[in-house]
Amino acid sequence: MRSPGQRLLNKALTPERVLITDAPSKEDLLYTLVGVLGKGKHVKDVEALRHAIAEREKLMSTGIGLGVAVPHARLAAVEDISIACALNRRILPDYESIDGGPVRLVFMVAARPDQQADYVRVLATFSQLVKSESNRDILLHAESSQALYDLLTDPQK
Amino acid sequence: MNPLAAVPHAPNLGILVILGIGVFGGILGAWLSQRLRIPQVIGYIAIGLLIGRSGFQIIDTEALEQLKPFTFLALAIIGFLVGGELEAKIFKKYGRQFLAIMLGEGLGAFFLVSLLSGTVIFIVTGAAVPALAGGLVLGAISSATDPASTIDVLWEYRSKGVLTTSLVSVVALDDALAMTLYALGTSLASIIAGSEVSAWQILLNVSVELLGAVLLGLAVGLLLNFLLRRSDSKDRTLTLIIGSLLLVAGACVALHLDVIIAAMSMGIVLINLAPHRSQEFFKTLRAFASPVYVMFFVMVGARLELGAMPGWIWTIVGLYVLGRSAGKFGGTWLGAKISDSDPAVRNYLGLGLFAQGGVAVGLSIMASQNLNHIEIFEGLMLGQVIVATVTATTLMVQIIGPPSVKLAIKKADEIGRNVTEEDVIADLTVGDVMTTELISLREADLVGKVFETVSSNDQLAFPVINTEGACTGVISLESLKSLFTQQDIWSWMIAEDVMANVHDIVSADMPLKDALETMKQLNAEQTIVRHPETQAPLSIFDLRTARRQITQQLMARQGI
Repeated sequence: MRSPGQRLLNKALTPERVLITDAPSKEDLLYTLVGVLGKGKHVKDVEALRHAIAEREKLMSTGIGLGVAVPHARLAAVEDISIACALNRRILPDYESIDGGPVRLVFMVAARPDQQADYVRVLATFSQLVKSESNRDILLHAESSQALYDLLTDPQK
Repeated sequence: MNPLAAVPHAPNLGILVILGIGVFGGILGAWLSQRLRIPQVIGYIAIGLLIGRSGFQIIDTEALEQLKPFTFLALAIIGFLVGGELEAKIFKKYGRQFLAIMLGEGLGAFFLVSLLSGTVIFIVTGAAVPALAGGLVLGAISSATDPASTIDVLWEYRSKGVLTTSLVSVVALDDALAMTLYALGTSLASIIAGSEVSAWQILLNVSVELLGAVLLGLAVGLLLNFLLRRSDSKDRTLTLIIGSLLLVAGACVALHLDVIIAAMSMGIVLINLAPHRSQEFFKTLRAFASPVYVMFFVMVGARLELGAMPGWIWTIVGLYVLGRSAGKFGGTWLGAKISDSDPAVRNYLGLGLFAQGGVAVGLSIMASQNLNHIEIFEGLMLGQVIVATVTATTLMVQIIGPPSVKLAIKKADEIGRNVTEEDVIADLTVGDVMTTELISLREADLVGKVFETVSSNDQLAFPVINTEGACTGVISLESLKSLFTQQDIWSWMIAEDVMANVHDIVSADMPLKDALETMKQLNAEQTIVRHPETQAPLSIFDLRTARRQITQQLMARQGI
């Protein structure tokens, strides 16, 4: 039985929004992910999303440690929760994670302002997914975007 | 030539135009009175004087005659509303005190005015008969207190308390005493003067007038109560009440019964048979009565005619006012002392009994008919002297009466005590009831810290501010609910991630009534109030605190 957070994740994440990237910096990677989300039907203003993600990073880095980052924002230009994910081949040393380490796995979440409860559930789901070292290792070593998508949407497999 | 002869009439205007001029003029007078901080009823009467028989004569004798039915309706409304204040439970509690005070003030005025005015008439005429007859009748008339202007002042200043209750009851009851004294006085005067109408006849007439009015009022009151129980709309209720009052007033005029007493009896029946339901009826009628009141008092002023009077009548007028005031004040004090009334009643109630109105003028006109055979000088009858004296004294006491009522309720600290929750809300803005001590969170505060702050403070909602101090969101217990079980993310999520948007649904200067309505529509319990320019959080407006503040203010204003 899937948790509510997992169900939301499966609904909000589509295969084309899961990428294997080779961005040289945090800024480049975030730019790419915003672009991917912007192609989806739920994001009405891609520049507003870009601005919101950047503003949130200014307040505090979303690098949550253990090589993972969860950039996120809630804004009116988004109609429903949308998720994009990137596994960067290179480490991103400039992410300023809370543990000071580099980042490779990035989950971007965008939601409507009033979707606070679902938003928190999705963010908590990512936190759960990467909590165990073995899970983290599997995700960080995914060979393709499809494999990464499958791992994220069906972690019990 | 008779010095009390009427002055010539001004051109006649249509009666509706006169009513319009009266109501608008009265409102202007009330506005001026309020600027001068004196009761509005003086403004109405002053305008009446200005446009009436003593002034520009826009309302002349003919117009006054045409407007007479209107006066009876106004008296009926006043009587009915006064009756609505007379609940049996109040009389059970204070009945003995009211009776003692009423007898004290009524008899005090009667004896002093009888003695003083009788003495002056005797000195002027050298004849005992007109002196005794005039003294007795003027004394009896002086015992009446005008309920209309007294109660208008009490309503204007939203007075409530033991003094107000006593004042309403005493002014309502002392008309009956005045009429009884009048009947006795006129009977005695008739016997002394050897009138064609027998003393018994006069006594019988007045008894019929009083008892008949009470019986008529009780009967119509019972019928009205029966009909109102079946009325399901405010409009129909008002129509039924006005219809009944018109019928009662009309019947009283036709049967020569006292209008005020009859309508008062109706009010007493309703308030005592259906205390809760009736409050609504009286409230509805009071809203309707406002222009009727204005016009009534304008007409009181317009009717006063202060033509050239001989100097000695002015002496009677002066002594009448002094004796009446002293008698009422002293009599009240004595009655209150004997019945062990509240100190506020003992010391100040007498001040509230100076006004003289319709009953006194009515009795003086009756006296002029009953005593029209007693001649003082050639061409000047005792009846004319009584009418002139009562008219002039009515003007004087209508000027000193209402401010005295105001002084009495002010001294007793009862001004502004008759307030409801709606009144309090109407006087307040959001700024008056919002929480002023405010703890804010910063956008970058970690959720862990947010929980720490929220759990250690009673505040129901917390504004979230950015680095410039502007409020960008709000965190409430509701918005944290989803995070209780997600402690993993407390170390990297921040206040900005979980805050809700601020909707400027209320502002500090917004009327509280509007704010409460808005909150109700949005089903919101609390909201942040921001500075309109800097967006800095000023306060939390939460319904729980607002309601507490409203209750506190209501209790403070009611003196509880």
